[in-house]
Amino acid sequence: MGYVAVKGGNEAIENACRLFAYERIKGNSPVLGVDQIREQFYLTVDRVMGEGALYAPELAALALKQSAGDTLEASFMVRAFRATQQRLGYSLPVGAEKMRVVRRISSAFKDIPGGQILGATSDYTLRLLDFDLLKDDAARRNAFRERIFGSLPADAEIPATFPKVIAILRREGLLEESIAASHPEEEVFDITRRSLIFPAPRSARLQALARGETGGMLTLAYSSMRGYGNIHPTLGELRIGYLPLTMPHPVTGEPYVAGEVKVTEAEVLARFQGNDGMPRFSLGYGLCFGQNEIKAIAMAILDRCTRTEKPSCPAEDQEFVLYHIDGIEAMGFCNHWKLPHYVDFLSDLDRLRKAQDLARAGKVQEDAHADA
Amino acid sequence: MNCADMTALIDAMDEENVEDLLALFAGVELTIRCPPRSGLVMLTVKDSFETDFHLGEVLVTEARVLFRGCEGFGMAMGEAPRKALARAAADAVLRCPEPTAIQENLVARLKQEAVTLNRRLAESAALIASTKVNFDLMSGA
Repeated sequence: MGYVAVKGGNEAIENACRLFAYERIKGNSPVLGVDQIREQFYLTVDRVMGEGALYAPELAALALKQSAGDTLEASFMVRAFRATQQRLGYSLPVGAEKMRVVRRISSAFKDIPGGQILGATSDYTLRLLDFDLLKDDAARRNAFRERIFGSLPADAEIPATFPKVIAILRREGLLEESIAASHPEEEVFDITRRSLIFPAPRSARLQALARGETGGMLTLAYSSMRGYGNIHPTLGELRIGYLPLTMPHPVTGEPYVAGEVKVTEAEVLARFQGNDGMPRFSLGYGLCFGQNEIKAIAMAILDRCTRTEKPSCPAEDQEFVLYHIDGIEAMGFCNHWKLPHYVDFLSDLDRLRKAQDLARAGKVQEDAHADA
Repeated sequence: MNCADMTALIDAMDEENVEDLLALFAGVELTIRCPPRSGLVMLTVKDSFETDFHLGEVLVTEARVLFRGCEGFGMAMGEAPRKALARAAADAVLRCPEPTAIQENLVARLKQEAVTLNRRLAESAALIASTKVNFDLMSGA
């Protein structure tokens, strides 16, 4: 493919950028504060952080404002910002059993240790428009706050941490053995420092999936759920909560908690034949920044799909999945078609015209033969 | 509550409270060893098979402060230079072996913050606990 550089058009380009910014402010609505986006569009902010691979709620909200709500553009900006920052260090590895849970459900068991906590969810809403929100104001909000806190039972408490649901299956030998034991990794792969290689180590696959684009991952996972593949999972556990960001203290070496990061974790169970001939459940794992349940579940399904030994469909093909779920790369490639391809197209036109000439000449010859 | 836990309370403070806390250090012989700088920390996590992987980076701000030869380290989430400085100063003061008046004032202020934070967490936990569900199986299931 040949590209040609073009030049000029600076003034028009600058005006186009200004016009884009103007479109956002030309109406008469009040100025939209970044704090409003962060607090009231928190699920979108979470999505942008996950796909941008940077946990920074304030900046993700800013990116959403700047991009007029385009999540792909916003994620791109967040990831571009991350490229300007130095890396100060690595956290101490943390597992989700340390999570301060705000939501936790299982579709595998009705009764789970610690109980099912629905948390803040729209799962049980009717998806009917709430026209009252058209008249949203401070008085309405205050009344709502009073209602929700007024009806709280005085003794309502939840445990600081919850045991894992899959531990029940592990105890009974119903779950596959540790992957780490069978495929040990010397060091954690970092796809921001090294290019992906295939077959990718587990740590690389999980990192790539964790920064994948929600819609792209859902599409691939859905293809498997619908039958283009063999993974029809049960949701062992879905939990949302806060993980501590713990660093070694540079002076004392003791664990130092810098803050908390909101994440969503999903564990899906699928059936499989164990290597030793003993059937057990296999597990797919998903974890991503923020509250993004669809992404975490899709990630868990794709994790399980891409561990299939003989891939038979796109969702089971590791290379296919990992190369196509990055929203920023995908949108970048799609967007590049808007750039000048004048020489490519001119060449296509030339070839087409020549092909048509040849076709016409052939037709004339055929006609001549037919007449003879 | 250890020193690290104490300074972690500062992370939950709003800007106004951080400024109040920093005001406590007025007149105290603190030296800023490394001024606040932002950067990234890679959050490493464990999956359910105990495989470590990098989930993504977190924007943080860090600073270092000296108090009577004791080096304090502060790190806060986001672009938060004042908070990082407050955490570093508190870390240095709290880890200084010789007792000082500022130490007492700081501990008292942080204990007060712990009460506020615990109340806020309890309120949030109560809201979450109110969504604990016990599904019943339908007859015939």
